[in-house]
This record gives sequence, structure tokens and C-alpha cells, in this order.
Amino acid sequence: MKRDTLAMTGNNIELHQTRNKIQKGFLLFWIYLKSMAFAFTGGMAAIPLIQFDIVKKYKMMSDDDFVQIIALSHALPGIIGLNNSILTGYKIAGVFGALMCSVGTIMPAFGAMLVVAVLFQKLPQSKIVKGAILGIRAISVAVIFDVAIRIVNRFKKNAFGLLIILTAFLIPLITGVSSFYAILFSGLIGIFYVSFHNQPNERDDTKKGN
Amino acid sequence: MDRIITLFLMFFKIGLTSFGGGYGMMSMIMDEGQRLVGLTRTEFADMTALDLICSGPVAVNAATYVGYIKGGFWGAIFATLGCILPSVIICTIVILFLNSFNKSKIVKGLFAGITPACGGLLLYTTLSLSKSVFFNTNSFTDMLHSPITAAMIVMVGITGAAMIADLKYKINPAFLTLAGAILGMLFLSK
Repeated sequence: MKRDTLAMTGNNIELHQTRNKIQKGFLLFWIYLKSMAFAFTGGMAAIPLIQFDIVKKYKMMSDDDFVQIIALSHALPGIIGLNNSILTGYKIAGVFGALMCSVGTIMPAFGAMLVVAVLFQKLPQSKIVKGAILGIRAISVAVIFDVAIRIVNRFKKNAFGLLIILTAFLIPLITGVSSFYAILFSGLIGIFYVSFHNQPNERDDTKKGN
Repeated sequence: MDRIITLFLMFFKIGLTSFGGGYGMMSMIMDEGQRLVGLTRTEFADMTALDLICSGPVAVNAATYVGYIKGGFWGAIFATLGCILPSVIICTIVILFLNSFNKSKIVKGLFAGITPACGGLLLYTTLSLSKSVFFNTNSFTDMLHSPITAAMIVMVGITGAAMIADLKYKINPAFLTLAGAILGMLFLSK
């Protein structure tokens, strides 16, 4: 009853604040589903759309909070888009919110890829189809290379970063071990580097904090 | 059944050790896929390109595709579950211990080391991918001895044009994939 009167008299903001957790969960599911369905270049492409809906349109979270979650989901291992949806969903509507956001994130990606995979296997092996596949493969080399170049560019002025890039390139090339070990090795080197290199600054920060 | 468990564990491991998004996992998907479920380099190249025309997180796309071609429908389901589970576990830990996480030097160090490593690994992936896509061989010595054909030159041309279009003019990769398919139909079907 109370909720109804608020909805009738109040403006939009009050109306949306009166949603309970279950309603918020379903709204989040819909926001994530439709944004992810149009994110063709990966989960990050959907983030601006989601930010608009959650922060501006439905006012479920402040802009600062959302930006903080974006930064955090980048820093965590795992799938960035999914980290973002779990953290956002939990903050707005608890465990149910996190669940609905995750399902909304995964469903379009899983569904679309399954359909494409089935169609791709069933395609007739004609010369034209084979030509198209060769063309697509040539594009994939370019796309992977460009992602590598963008990462290298980020570390242009960072000698430590460039050294790690070179090491990670040479380890699988020369020794033939799996990239998993190159990642593990680089992570350990990173821990050593940060704990010795940044020590003075870190101490200052903790003193201020205390 | 064994295959499905292998797919699940493989993508769990990949999800857990990937920093910096889906493209960072690509080199691991190629290596581990080849070792554990017999994913060929050309299948990997198809996956990379099809990722671009499917919406949603790249990692989920990749897991679904590899799971489907190596383990059928249930393979796709369990590979996808395997790659999302690390995110779920890690986000739960973060929600529980958010404050100490932000200050942790170990986390900062891991991130500082693994992000550039992804760049180096992707360069390696490009090299070994171009070896199998352009030359259709499995070792670098075979590559040097294989004859240069017209199709090879066309494919290198398409790759070069796509690199420039993507890096310099920032053309949506989904359109590049479509353009690659059309150019392939016109010049590479013989």
C-alpha cells in the first residue's frame, strides 16, 4: 500500500527506489541481457550501455561506485564483464542480484556462440565456403596481433613491462612449454618487483592511512 | 565423459589465470587446447574469428565454441561453467574481504607481471597462428621450406589490410570478419 502511494505521488526516482530486491534483480537481468546482446567485441563494449541504465536511467547506484567497480573488475582474474556484473548485482540487490546479472551476461554469449558453432560445423564444404573460412582465418591473425600491439603500447615507457613482454614471448617459443607457465612465472616476477621496487612509497601510504 | 571433465578443468584453469580480459586467455586456450583436447591451430583461428561476430564476453564465446566442437552440447555447457566459476569464486572473496584486497602488494605484483606477459604471449600466438594459417605447417622449419603460393600472398594481404584498418581507423572487428569472409569467397575459393 505504502509503495503504491509513493509511486503515484512521487517522481521517477522515488518510484524506482521502492522496488524490492526481487524486482531489482529482474530489472538488472534485463539491463545486462540487452546490453550484452549487442556487445560484439567482448564484454567491455557493453559497459557504457549498462552504466547509462544503472546510473542515469534507473538511479540504482552512484556513478563513482560504478566506476570503482569497473576498475576492480579489471584488476581481478577471470572474465572482466562477468566480474563487473557479479559485483554490481551484489551491491544493488545482494546474492539474487549477482545471480541475475551473471545469467544476463552469460546467456547471450553462450546462445549466440552455440548457434554459430552448430551452423559452422554443418556448412557444406564447397569451394566458396572454404574460401570464406580462409579469409576469416586471415582476419583472426590480424585481430590477435592488434590486441598484442595495444598491450605492448601500454608498456612503451616501462622497462620492466617490456622485459616481461620479451620473456613471455620467448619462453614458449624456445622451450615449447605451455603459456600457463609463462603466466605463472611473470606473476611471481611481478610480486618480487612490486615488493622491492615500491617499498618506500608503500610505507608512506600506510603511515598516512594509520 | 572424461572429455567433458577435461574441458571443464581446462577452462577453469584458464579462467583462474587470466588477467586483463578474454584476449589475454587466447594463448592459453591455444596451448592447453592443443595439449588436452587436441584443438588444432586452424580450429583455434576459426574460434577467434567467430568470437568477433558473437556478442558477449569473448571468454564465454571461446569456451562455448571449444566445448561444442570437442565435447558436443554438454561439452559446451561444462566448458562455459568452468570458465565462469573462477570469476564467481574470486568475486565472492572480494566481496567478503574488499578492504584488505585493495592494499595487497601480492595482488598488485601479480597484476604488474601478468598484464605485460599477456602481450608477449599474444605475440607468440600471432607467430604460431600465422605459421599454420598462411603456411599450413606445424613447425617453423617446414615454414621456411614451403613454397610461396598465390593464395598465401592474398591471405597475407588480407591480414595486413585488417591490421591497419583495426589499429589506425578503429573499424569494428565484426565488420572486418565479414569483409574477410567476402574477400575469401572472391579470391581464395579455388
